[in-house]
Amino acid sequence: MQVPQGIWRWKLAFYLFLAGTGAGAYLASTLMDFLGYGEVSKVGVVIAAPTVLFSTLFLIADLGQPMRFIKAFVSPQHSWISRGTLILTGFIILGLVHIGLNMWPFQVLGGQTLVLLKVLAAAFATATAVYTGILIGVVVARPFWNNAMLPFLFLISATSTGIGAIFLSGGIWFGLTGGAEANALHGMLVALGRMDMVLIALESLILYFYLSIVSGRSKDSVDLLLSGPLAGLFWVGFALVGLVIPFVMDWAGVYASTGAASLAINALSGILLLVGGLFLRALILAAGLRSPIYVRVPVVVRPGA
Amino acid sequence: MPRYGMVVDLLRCIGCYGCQTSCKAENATPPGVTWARVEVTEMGKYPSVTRLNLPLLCMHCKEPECEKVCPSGATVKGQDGIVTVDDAKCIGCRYCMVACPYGARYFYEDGRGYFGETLTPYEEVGYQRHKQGTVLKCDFCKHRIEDGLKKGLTVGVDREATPACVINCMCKARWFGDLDDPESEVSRLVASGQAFQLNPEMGTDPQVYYLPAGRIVSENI
Repeated sequence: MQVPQGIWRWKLAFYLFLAGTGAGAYLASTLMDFLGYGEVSKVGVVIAAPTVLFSTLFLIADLGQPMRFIKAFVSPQHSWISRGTLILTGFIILGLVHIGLNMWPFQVLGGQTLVLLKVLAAAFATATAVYTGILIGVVVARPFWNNAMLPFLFLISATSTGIGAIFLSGGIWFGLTGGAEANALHGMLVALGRMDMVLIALESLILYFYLSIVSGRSKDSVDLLLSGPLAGLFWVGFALVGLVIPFVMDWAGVYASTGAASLAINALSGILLLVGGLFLRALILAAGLRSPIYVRVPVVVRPGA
Repeated sequence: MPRYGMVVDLLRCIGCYGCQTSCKAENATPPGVTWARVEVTEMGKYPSVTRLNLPLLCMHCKEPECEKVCPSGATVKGQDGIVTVDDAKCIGCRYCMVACPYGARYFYEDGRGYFGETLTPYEEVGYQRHKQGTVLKCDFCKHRIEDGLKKGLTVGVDREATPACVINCMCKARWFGDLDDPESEVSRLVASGQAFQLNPEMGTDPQVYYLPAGRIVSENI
């Protein structure tokens, strides 16, 4: 059995996870905004950009020369780290502008400018979530990552963990205020719960096809994940804690009899979604083994044979 | 400008680790860093299996993945074909280490020497050539090549203008020289038709070639 990849470890996993979660929270909020939960969908907007900003601290902390982090921007023509830092910066700026200019007490923006800002920020949020998959997806030397489905898997997972973050912060907010907005918030959380069930089903399906396709080219990585040293974390930490239990809890949350019960279930489900999302990033990073170096076998034919 | 490259003969290599040791002596690399290394692997399928000593180093690819992924522009492929890291630019993100198909890159994480925190006098002087928190790699002994050229020596022929791993190979299993010069030994070996590159499907076009561990005796029997 192979040893897990050890070049990019937990700090990178946190970076990919938090960047995805922040971007996903924004995407889920935008969707809720369109569905008519405009006021309460701001829960997601408020946590989105700060979470992505926080994620970059993990990237910087992982550098061997953290003080030189600004140099990470200089090669967008060929490096996905440079492109990614630009995408993240774009989203952080737009997300913070959205918070700063459109929320109490600074309701400056409105009308078409606000719509434009939201569309732009949502585009950058999508790019941020997809980028976390592209970053490792372009590495040809590691066939487990080098797959076009990985960015989609990370986008779906990011939206799901983003919903998890909204569940958790929505639950905390409700617990603290319990005010007039509770009913509207509850309505949104139920809608989000339904959406999350779809996302979890989609994520499981993509993951199934992803592992099936990749296993042809990178059997060692898939073995490491499904039956090797990482199997416990994969089946319990990710599959059970991050997919199965939140799915059941989302379902329970949607049909809970009282609003308060539903919010409590959602908040717990949110914690599990976040833990599962972190495990997914960490496990996919760890299972990214390098293609073995092989030597062409010469054709040795003995005379007279 | 020349285009430097190397040829390694797997039939001649006996796995003595002379290249690995001489590289460490020449370049004073810290513990865990082996710019030149030998991996003992297996080759073939049962029942025709054989043990193989596979000497590895940076392939100085024509299309280096490491250069492509480097966000700070620290990794560059010079006009002489040598891929180097500028330790004044490297931010230590290790994307190149993840991307290199040949495992030729190393992260210099802490300043520890072979005998713990206290460095030996040799390490104290030698490690000044490497910057902590950056990525280190083989540079085809660029300093030897440049010094040799200043003295008017021929690269790959004169010992003082040739990488340490090549001149220290006791089986003469390594050749070094200019792949753009059709008269050089490396060019003739590559043109022999037997030389091959490692993992060519990566699309990196390595400039280190290998000669097979077994000879083709006859093709038409």
